[in-house]
Amino acid sequence: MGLFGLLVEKVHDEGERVTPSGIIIPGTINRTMIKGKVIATGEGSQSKKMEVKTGEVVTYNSVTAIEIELENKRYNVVDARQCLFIN
Amino acid sequence: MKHPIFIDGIVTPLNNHVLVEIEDTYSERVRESGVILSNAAHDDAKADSPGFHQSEFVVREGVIRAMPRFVALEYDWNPEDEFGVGDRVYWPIVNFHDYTVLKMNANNRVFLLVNYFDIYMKKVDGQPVPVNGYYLFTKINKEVSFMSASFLHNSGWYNLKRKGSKVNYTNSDANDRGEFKEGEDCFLSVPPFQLEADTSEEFNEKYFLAQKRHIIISQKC
Repeated sequence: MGLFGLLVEKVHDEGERVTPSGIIIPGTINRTMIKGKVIATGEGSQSKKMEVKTGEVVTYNSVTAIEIELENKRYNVVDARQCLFIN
Repeated sequence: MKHPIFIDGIVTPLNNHVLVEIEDTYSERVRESGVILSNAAHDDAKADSPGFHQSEFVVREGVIRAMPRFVALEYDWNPEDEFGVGDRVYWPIVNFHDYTVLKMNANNRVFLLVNYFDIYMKKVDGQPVPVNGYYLFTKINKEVSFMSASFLHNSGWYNLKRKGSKVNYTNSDANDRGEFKEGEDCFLSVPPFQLEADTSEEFNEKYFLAQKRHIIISQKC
């Protein structure tokens, strides 16, 4: 794992949402940003510590993620510096 | 507001970002007289309005709702937690389009992930207080006889109104560059940020913001 690498397991997001005015937003929209549960983290560097801990759910850009398969399970490897926030 | 990311509650921002709650000013405004002002900051208006980014509708203030767990220093000063949850903060509009928009699912609150180091001012007791190494200035008309024309094009004399209180340069050399007192006239080497339109009206003064390191000459009054 790189210094800022995160091994994450995709979290199934809920489906459609309804806005207060009643507009239905389908679950297929906005899938660039997805959630993932952190399984393992890198150590960070001296000047920038690792902000994310194992077990937390982060939102990240799926375009920058690399998909890998470990023991018949699919994971994403993400750069922690590309993550937006902890849910 | 285009392509927001939906969240269920307050989230913890990462990578030197703070979570700021804003009022959604993307839609049109209606004046008391009934005149409708369309939103020139909207992406669709780009082609028609080259100066779209200067629109008064661009969001440049909000209230902090969450801070990152820590801030990694990018420059040679230590901001020492100059602002926190609950503070009303301001940022220059130049970087606005890079910010990520978050929308809370249940009650339609809107948030932005704003870079910590982009924030240049906060409001305390109704008064502007500069942060992150910025100083607050007002423009003065003063004859400049010692600078070359190239300097004059982008800079000038400004009166130092207020300093950020908690900034220490981590580089000791920088601390020796001189201390400036409020009320001094300062010559800036770069054009400062100007508080635009309604923000200036809020404080009844036309303020400018620049960093201490951009002061090259000061003159005590």
